[in-house]
Amino acid sequence: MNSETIKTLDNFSKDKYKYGFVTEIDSIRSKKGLNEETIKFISKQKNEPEWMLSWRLDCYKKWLKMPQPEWANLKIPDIDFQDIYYYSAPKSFKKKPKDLNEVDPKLIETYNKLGIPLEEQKVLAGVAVDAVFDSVSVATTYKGELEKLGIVFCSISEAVKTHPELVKKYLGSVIPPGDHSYSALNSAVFTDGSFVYIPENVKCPMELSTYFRINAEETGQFERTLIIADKGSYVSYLEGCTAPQRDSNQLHAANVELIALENAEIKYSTVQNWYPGDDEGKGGIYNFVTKRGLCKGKNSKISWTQVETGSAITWKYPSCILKGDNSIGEFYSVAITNNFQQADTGTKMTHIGKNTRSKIISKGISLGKSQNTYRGNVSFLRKADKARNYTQCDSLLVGNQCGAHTVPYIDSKNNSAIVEHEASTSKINEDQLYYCRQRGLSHEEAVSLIVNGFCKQVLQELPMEFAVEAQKLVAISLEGSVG
Amino acid sequence: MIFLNINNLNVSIDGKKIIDNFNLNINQGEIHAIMGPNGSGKSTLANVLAGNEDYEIISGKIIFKDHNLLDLNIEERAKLGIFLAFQYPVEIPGVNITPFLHASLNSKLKNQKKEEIDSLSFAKLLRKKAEELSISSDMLKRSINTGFSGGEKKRYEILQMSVLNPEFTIFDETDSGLDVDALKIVTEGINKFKNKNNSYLIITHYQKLLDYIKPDFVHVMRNGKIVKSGNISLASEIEKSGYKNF
Amino acid sequence: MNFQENFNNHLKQYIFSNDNYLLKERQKIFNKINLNKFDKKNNESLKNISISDLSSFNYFYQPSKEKPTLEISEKNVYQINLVNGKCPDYKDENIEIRNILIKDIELFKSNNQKDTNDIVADLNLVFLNSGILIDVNQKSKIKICLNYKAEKDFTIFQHNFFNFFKNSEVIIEENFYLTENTINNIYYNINIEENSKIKHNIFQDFASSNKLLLTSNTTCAKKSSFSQNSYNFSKGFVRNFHNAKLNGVFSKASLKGCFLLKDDNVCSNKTHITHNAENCESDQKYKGILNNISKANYYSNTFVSKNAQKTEGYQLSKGILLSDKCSFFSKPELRIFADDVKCSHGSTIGPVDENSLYYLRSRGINKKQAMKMIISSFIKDDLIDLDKKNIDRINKNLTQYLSTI
Repeated sequence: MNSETIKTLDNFSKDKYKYGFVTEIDSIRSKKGLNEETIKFISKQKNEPEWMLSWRLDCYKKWLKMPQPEWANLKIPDIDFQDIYYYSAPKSFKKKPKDLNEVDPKLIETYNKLGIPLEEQKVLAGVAVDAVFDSVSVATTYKGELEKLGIVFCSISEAVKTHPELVKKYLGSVIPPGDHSYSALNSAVFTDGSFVYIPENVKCPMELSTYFRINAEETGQFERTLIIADKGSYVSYLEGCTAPQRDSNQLHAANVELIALENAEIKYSTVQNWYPGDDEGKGGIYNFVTKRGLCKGKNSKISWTQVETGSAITWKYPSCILKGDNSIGEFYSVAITNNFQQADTGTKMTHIGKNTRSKIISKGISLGKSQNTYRGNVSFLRKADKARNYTQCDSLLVGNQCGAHTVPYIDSKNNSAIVEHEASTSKINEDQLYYCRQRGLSHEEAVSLIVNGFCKQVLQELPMEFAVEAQKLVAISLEGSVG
Repeated sequence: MIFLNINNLNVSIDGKKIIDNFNLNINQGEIHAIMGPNGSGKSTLANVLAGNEDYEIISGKIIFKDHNLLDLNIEERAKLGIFLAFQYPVEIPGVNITPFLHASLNSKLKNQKKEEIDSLSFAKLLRKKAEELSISSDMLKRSINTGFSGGEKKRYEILQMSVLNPEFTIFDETDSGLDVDALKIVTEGINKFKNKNNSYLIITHYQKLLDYIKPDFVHVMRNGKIVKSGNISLASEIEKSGYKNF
Repeated sequence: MNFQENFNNHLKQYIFSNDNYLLKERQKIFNKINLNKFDKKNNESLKNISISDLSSFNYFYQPSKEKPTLEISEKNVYQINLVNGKCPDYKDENIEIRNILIKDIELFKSNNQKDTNDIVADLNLVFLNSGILIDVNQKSKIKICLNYKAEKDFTIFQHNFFNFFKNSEVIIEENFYLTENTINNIYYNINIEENSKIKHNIFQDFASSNKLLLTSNTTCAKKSSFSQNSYNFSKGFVRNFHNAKLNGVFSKASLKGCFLLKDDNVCSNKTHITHNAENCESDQKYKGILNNISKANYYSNTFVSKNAQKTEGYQLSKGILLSDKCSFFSKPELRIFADDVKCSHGSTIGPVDENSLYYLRSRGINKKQAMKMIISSFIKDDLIDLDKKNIDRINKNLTQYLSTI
């Protein structure tokens, strides 16, 4: 690599995080640490019914017995679970505001600053937003309009009270609390997140979106999202996240469950931009996420798209259980790591039903001193006749201080199923750089353009409103000045 | 103003000398052709003019529009008006020509302290130029050079040239890999774009290309230097008896 | 007999049992396995075989009446007929061959390549009862055939050291003549010096009551090349775990294999290539065909360390499943820490390609015949480098395998 390329890349490593501000607001917090009292406190703050509390306590007992998962390619410092606040909510939320007029203006301003206006007239047309601030949902827009179609879009805390039968039936049905220690932890202490129910044969007319913001210090965020698409329905859901810039690490441990019944389709997109730590590796969010979708009915479809640029450490494997015959699972991912970030992300496609199909497109870009791993599991069970998988993972290495790793697991127990897997790792092609620069583009512009092209297959899967943002985010993650 | 002057240029790659005491002068509006057998250093010359960093310039001077070219990097030379039509245009998956060329053109306009062009007008301009070269709008939607045939790639190069409007274009074996029909379309484009202000340097192995584009001067290159210069009759001589006499 | 009984009852019979270093190492490993102090879940050496399958057996090893022999049939072709892991001692201007001696204990101490989580390699050291050492001199151009014979019920734990000194060119061919109910756990250290070119062909075709577990660790110096091919037509359990380290610039390693399984055959494969120097090339490729209730796995790994710029590394794994009860697991891994690299891997698992079948059938070939043609071409792609005798041998095995489809 020539000296100019290295110079350009050096600049890239000095990335600036634009969402690092803190909102000064009075909060109610649980006592530090995790015990039954903490869980009772959370449940009480949320006015939960008894069944919910006892479910939480069961999960807590499971968690106590479970070991921390180990990852080959991640170096995770020991996390002191007694040194975290498990609940934090703005004081003004003692009672949930009925409409935006009752919401603390400071909060509305915070979201405006993040580019997420909550006043409906200012909201991007066609996007309904649920804004989660630390442990509580601040506001949900367009609720009324959605209600007319029978669509439920609210915070999970609210759904526990208003739709207990659905929550009871599906919560923990895709990710059993005993799956691993973080699924048990989340089930015990989850604070807020979104709940979506799309009734039979309804195509949700707008993008549903949740925006997660961690504000309070030393606070963990335990998001829980549950999306149920009933027979023949369709929904597209977006998730975005940011956090203030701090020297200490913070934990975000989410559980997301999707259920698609017969002929239903769920499209789930994430743009993850949690604070990644500074250029010396200090601070940043630990983003430990369990996301799983169940294609329960015939001909159902679940599609995950993610753009991962943030967090100090990420592990996350949005997965599909393809149970219904002819069901489809998709995973499109861009993961960019810079400085000292570590990411271990990928997917799991479990083919159970006949004629199930899955597709995995993963693009990893490693810069600085970061480590970026794709880990994926494709398995065909005995009865998955004529199932198919296509996987493509490409990694780009920029500089010789970082690492790019590809760890696929492929397991076939069916002789009519076909799996095809391709992967490649290389540096930015110097011939492409030369070509772009010969046409007058600067070195930086050329790199940004080529990397965006490299990610195109994934970015084009994002809903329109997000795609442009994501493209910019890719450019910003690379350096910060290309526009 | 000196348009292009190459003076005593010596270039090597991996310690091997490719260009040896090379001299050439091109004035505004002229068409020059350099012919030579494989390995004579023709393509190296094209890449050295464009600023490719793989080559080591041992000595010599290149003046272009009164600028010392060797002090400038690749994109600075491009902005100054040098365009290289590549022999093998590289595929850039996922990158569409419209934003790519729009950024190119604007960087050039900015350099000339001219007003930048907005995306709508640019899209119109691109479509118009594409039509002139019978490039379908479908082809404009594809990623740059990705999955193109040899002829399509070369037409794409000419399209980019006509949009960027360079004063000096180097055609590096533009005829290679083209059948007769494709060659006709490409050379028509090249001729259409020619005016009294821009100059061409055509690098080719065969004389065939020069049946379509008439050069003012023909040079024969061997072992890194020009061994003979003349007019178009030199090309017919090569066609008849090859390079062995040079 | 369980692991503990095997260990305690025969402790005095293992090779070099008086050596303190080995004793300590043996005890360390024994405790680790006996007390379950190792990572079981992600243990590649335990894929498709259980720890009790590996450690519970009737340890049996004793001096044999039959003597190992050496023939030089043609010039520079050395036929070495081993018996139960023992070789004859021999030396000429090209080669030195001998059984390992107590003085070779240093070689074990410096064997620092060992995968600490490989139970089969661990057991090799615990029960070690034989080993041979082959030195090939500088500039020698020879062929070595190692014919392993194991007598009925023998459990052979063998550690071999092959050294190829500078500028040598060697073909090593290994054949296994296993009788009945034998265990052959063979561990190799192969050291290839500058400019040497080594081809290593391993033929595995024996009866179902035997187990063959191979583990090799090869290091390649500057401008050397190592090319290994294993051909597995065995009916018993076969493990092929092969590692290579490219330590010198411009060195090359290729680890390839094919396997044809039927009935309840099991085969466990792993290749791992570490790039430690610039401008090296590597290739890893395993292909398998599975029928009935057979099982196979293939782990491949390309590891490129930080200073190994200009690396080219390729991996491929292909599996054809012929029955609805067989299974194939593959894990093609890339671990890259240098940026100027070209690395890739591909993996396909599925039935015989429908399009090829359709094409052949449209030319009038019946379905069964077409299947056979496709399968044999799948294997034959990789036979280019072999001599006629070996090609015939593979063809015979292939024909036999195809006749059961």
